[in-house]
Amino acid sequence: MKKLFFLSIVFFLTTSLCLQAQEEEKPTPVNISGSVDTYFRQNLSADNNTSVPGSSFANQSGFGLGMVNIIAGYEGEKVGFVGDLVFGPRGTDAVFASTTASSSIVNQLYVYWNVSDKVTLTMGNFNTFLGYEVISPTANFNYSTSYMFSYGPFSHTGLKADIALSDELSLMLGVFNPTDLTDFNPTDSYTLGAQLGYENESGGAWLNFLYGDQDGSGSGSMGKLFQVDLTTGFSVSETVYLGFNGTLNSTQDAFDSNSDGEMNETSGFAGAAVYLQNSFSETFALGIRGEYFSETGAFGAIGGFDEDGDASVFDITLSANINVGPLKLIPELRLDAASEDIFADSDSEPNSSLSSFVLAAVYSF
Amino acid sequence: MKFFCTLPVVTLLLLGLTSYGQDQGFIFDENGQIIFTEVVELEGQREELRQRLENLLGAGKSIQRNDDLSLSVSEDFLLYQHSLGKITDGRVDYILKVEVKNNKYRYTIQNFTYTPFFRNRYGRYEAKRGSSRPLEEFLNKNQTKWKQHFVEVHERIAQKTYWLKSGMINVEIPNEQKVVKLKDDW
Repeated sequence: MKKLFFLSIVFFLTTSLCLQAQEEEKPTPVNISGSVDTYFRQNLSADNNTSVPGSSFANQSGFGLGMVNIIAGYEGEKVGFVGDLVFGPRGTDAVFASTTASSSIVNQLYVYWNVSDKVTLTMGNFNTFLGYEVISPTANFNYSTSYMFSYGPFSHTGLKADIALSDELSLMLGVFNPTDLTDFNPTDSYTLGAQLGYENESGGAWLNFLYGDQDGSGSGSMGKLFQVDLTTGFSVSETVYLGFNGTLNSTQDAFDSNSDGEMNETSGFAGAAVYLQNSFSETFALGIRGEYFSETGAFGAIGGFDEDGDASVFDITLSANINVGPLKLIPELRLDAASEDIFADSDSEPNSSLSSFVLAAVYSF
Repeated sequence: MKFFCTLPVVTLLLLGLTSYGQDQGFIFDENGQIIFTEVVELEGQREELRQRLENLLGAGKSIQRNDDLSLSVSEDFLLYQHSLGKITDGRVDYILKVEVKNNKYRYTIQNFTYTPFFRNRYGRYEAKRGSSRPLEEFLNKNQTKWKQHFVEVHERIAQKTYWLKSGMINVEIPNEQKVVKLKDDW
């Protein structure tokens, strides 16, 4: 793996030395964009402070803060960069593995080079290519997030090549630090990523792979992680959009969680989600997300598991998007139903389900 | 009675103002498409002008050489939205066609389309597939953004036609440099 990494670095450097600058860059302005988001969350079936869905963001009680997101980007014909800074709880959660005070506000930091019309090389820290949902609340229809998004990777730091195989087919190959270790690589192990994409005028489908050791080779370390993920989304009509995300994540030789003292062979999760949205007008849309998520080997995402270390949860989220100029209001009803009693009811007794309400406000600029 | 006399006049005035606003300063062909066209006088035989045109446009990515010695090239430019920040709002594509005759040529700029951009998951702006629409469909948009966009379209096309006319004149820049010899008896 190390050799592969160094080979890719050598390839990157040598090709850059060989290629002459053919023409001058036309001056293009630096894009400055971003968002500000905040929300209110109230449990409907339990006291507000007793339970919360196990997914990322929008998981505090009452009025809560999202983040201020400021993205500066230069997109030249040949080269460019993106600096994406986040301030606030959502940003802190998104870059949870950062090691310094200043890096904990860096959501993305990368440079890219369009080597040709068909090949782009990118180096630095970028958000993940896996999954349907993203960190920025401006690009998600639902404000609260799925379990698959929450426990999959958020970001990668490394080098990737995006290759346009045709107008509709694309391939991405990359070598990264272990997932979400964005500042540097403390484990001396690398992860490989690949994506095969198909896009046409009505939508696209992306098949994603991630493979590699996430915690080095010290004593007690786990084996290699493998994740395969399919993300699709198509416009069914002028107003209806249908999306799907399915994922399987597993890591070899996980820690011992069985009561019989035997080692689990793998731990991880699998899930599938359907996203159905309809735009009723330019200012109002309604969408629903239904997700089934299960974990094995006491993975620890859901918050409880049976004696075999297994658990599952089904969540359904109904959201509206109300656009008031650059401000988007997202009222949202969500029901989480788990296999274990991981929530509380209104008497603070253990319960397997939770219903909640969120009202989010997202301003984009 | 006076009211009924004044009403048609006011209506006509309002209609006139509305249609002026919807034109956004553009000229349209018989199909209602935005068009920029001009016949430019330039000394030279047809083949010579064609060669100048080839030299000028030949490096274009998607040039089309037609049987009648005319050249067509697809070009584009980006439009930016100026709000709190500055973001890429979309791309305007168009076709520039130049025909030549003895001692003159005619350029026609047509087939304007607008493709909105969106910020992808990596923070970069990219074209939204399947969303290209004729630019004419946006003429009746009243937002400030679109008013700025149409001003930008006029400016970009003015720059392009200036570039074309200057290029076709083909003024040669002398390579000789002026040499100053320093004298001792200054």
